[in-house]
Amino acid sequence: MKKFWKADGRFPCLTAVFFLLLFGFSFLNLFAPRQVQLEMENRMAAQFIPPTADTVLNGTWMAHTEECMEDQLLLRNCFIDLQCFVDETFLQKTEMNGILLGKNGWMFTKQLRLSDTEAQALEKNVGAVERFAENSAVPVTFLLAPSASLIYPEMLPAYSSGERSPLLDENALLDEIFARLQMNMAVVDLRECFRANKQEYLYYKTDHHWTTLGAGYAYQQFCIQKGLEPILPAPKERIEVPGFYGTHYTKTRCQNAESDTLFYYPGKARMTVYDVISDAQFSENAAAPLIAAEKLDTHDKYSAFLGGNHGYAVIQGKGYEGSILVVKDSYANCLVPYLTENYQTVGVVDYRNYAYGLNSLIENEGYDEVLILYCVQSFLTDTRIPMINRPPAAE
Amino acid sequence: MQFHSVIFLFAFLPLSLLLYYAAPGRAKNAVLLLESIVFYGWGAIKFLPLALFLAASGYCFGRLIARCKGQKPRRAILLLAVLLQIGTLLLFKYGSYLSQLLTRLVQGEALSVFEVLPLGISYYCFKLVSYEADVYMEKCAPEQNMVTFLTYVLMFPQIIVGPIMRYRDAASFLHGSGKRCQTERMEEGVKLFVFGLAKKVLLADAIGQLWSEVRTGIGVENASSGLVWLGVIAFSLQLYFDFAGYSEMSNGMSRLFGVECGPNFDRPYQARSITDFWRRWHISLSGWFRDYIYIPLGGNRGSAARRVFNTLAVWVATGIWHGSTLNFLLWGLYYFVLLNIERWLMRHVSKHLQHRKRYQAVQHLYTLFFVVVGWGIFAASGNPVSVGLLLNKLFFFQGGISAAYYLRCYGVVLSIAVLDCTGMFGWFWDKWERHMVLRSLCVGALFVVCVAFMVGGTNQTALYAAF
Repeated sequence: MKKFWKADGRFPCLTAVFFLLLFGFSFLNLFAPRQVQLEMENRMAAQFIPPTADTVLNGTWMAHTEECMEDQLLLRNCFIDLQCFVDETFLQKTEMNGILLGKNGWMFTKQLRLSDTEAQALEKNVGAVERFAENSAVPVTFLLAPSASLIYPEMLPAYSSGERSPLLDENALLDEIFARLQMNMAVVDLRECFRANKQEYLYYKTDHHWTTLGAGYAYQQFCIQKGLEPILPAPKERIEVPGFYGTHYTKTRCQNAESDTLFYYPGKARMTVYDVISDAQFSENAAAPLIAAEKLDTHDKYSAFLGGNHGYAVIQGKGYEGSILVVKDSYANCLVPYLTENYQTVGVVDYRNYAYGLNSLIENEGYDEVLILYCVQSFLTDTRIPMINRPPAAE
Repeated sequence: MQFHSVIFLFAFLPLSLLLYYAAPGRAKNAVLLLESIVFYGWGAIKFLPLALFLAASGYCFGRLIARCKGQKPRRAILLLAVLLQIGTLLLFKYGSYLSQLLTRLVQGEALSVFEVLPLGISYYCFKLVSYEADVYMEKCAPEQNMVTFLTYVLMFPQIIVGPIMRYRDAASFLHGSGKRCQTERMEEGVKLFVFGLAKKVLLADAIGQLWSEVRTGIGVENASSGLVWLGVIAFSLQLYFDFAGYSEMSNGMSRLFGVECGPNFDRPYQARSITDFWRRWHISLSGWFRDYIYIPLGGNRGSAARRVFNTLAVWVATGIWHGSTLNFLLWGLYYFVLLNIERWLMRHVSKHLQHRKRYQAVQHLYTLFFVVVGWGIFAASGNPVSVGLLLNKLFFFQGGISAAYYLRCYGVVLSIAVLDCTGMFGWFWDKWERHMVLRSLCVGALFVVCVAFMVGGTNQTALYAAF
């Protein structure tokens, strides 16, 4: 053995350190506890599956096993944290994993100027909403929530805003969309209101959503648009949940990120969640509160609002304004509770878990009006929005 | 399975090294071959029979060529071997184009088999041709042992991106059974592997995001000339660190398995002429074209016109070897023109000025300028970037999206990359020759950071999976 390493009279220090790390870590990794869910990444971890002749020959087993090794790696979160630390501290990067690292702990979604494909997708979505409103028997309201970067441009990293920046000019885009849609429907433009109240806590710094307060301002603008009296819960009723690190944080894992505080108003309204069987055909799945309190203890605290995204759910409200159907993304989850103060029934459709047109649903359930609520990022990328115009399936 | 993947680093590589070190001397080649077959099959199982067939054919052709010494069929056998191996390579590289063309003519279905280029085919075919030509020219004896030969051709450290090691260089290592695991060789191997990994995951991948965003994110047509220049410079650095990083990992692993291969890159961006650049860039490929195309065609001998023709043949081959789109051919011709100009017109200027320091700086700048423009042509492989659009943006200054944001975001990583190109880190490494503990800690820390970047690259937060 001595002869083996003493070829040049020195201990092979470099090889020893490398082999210790390589073999030691590989050995320890064999005993790493199996992960079921990667909580910080909001997804299930890939699990090892036995090979079959087919999966080996078509290469899918190998690809899946590589993914498993990555997901199940010992100290996975520590490695990701280390990468972010090096990127942020040593390499001084101002963006990570599609998130811009702004000033004062702000993080923003990086939305580049639209490519041709994205512009086509947007055109399809705008066209779908326009067509739906033209043919709808009930009034339609459209609310497109602006991004935090539009309200707080001064918090963006250096050189990322302005005419010659690579980022999307969201102001011009919203002008264009609103100008086109307001001919057929009521449009709620939140920019002026949000800019006027920008000193308040309108958006989470570490998440891509607006706060309950931001949603409250959006609700008030909606009420003004519809001629309703906004009914806001008393501030003393609000319950604060500190220690919220949102999706922007999980993508960047910035070491100096400050946690957000999420708040909600507890209410007695109950929601019925349905399983979608076919077009406007549902079976009752469960009754649930508007705030799933158990999710406030998890990493993904925002999912407490409405308990996540359901294909179709109905909430019995306290109001007298009839019924409203909200077609939405996750931004609406913390706005819907406000609507229950004005409306008797609030239906909620989320197209990530729904694939039928809206006309049968409106007709069968007797909704009096429709609110289409998306944030800009989802409206640009969601390819399922055109489904709102799907004709009813033939009997 | 790539060298910078988790499964390779923490499953395949340690297991392969353990088995290889545990195997007795005589069985080492068989173990390495088996590991190489598993490695190849893992990434491209449907092309494994083709790789084994071509490698076995190379073995047979080599022995046949040697057996026909002094006989007429010898040349025909070499031609047949080259036709089979280079023909297969061309079929896969250009098969999809031919297939689409035929489809249009006869209105049938395109052959899907040619849609994917078999893993490493360019490298192992070139290895086979070099072996057969060397046996033909009697520069080496044919390999008698099929296992040893297949190990040489399919050796997994070299199968993805080379280098194109000659059999005559590899034979001594593959035949020696007792001295493979020398500590000095392993120390050098570890250093090369970790530094190569760092070049790939810390520099190439990070810098690559810049060019990728300019190319497909915002589009070259929307970028200002300044940003396009920055993008092309970033691409030039990415290409170097990616390729040189992989080559170093390959050479490092080869050393851990007891095989020494010369460097494939020798600080190419320090070159003082285009000729010098090509002596330092992808050395094994340049050497291959020189030895098996340029010299057999006559090399520097014969008339000036003949020399120009020989150079043209080499650069056309270099261009189409790199890719099947027109820009690669254009890129090859660009170097053909540049090298000829350099050789015939600038010789006299260089003679008088080459020892002046100021002139050396001009030489560096001249080389870098043309090399970067060359990489621009190389990168413009059609949709969404055409050569015309790119050159227009580079040389007719236009406004558009500014480079300021990207300089702020990527400034540090670009500076580190440029410093590495100057050889500064290598200079520090050599200075610390006696500080083995410091060196080892640096390599260990660098390895951990590399793993962090590898794992960080797989961090996929699902925005809409759970809410």
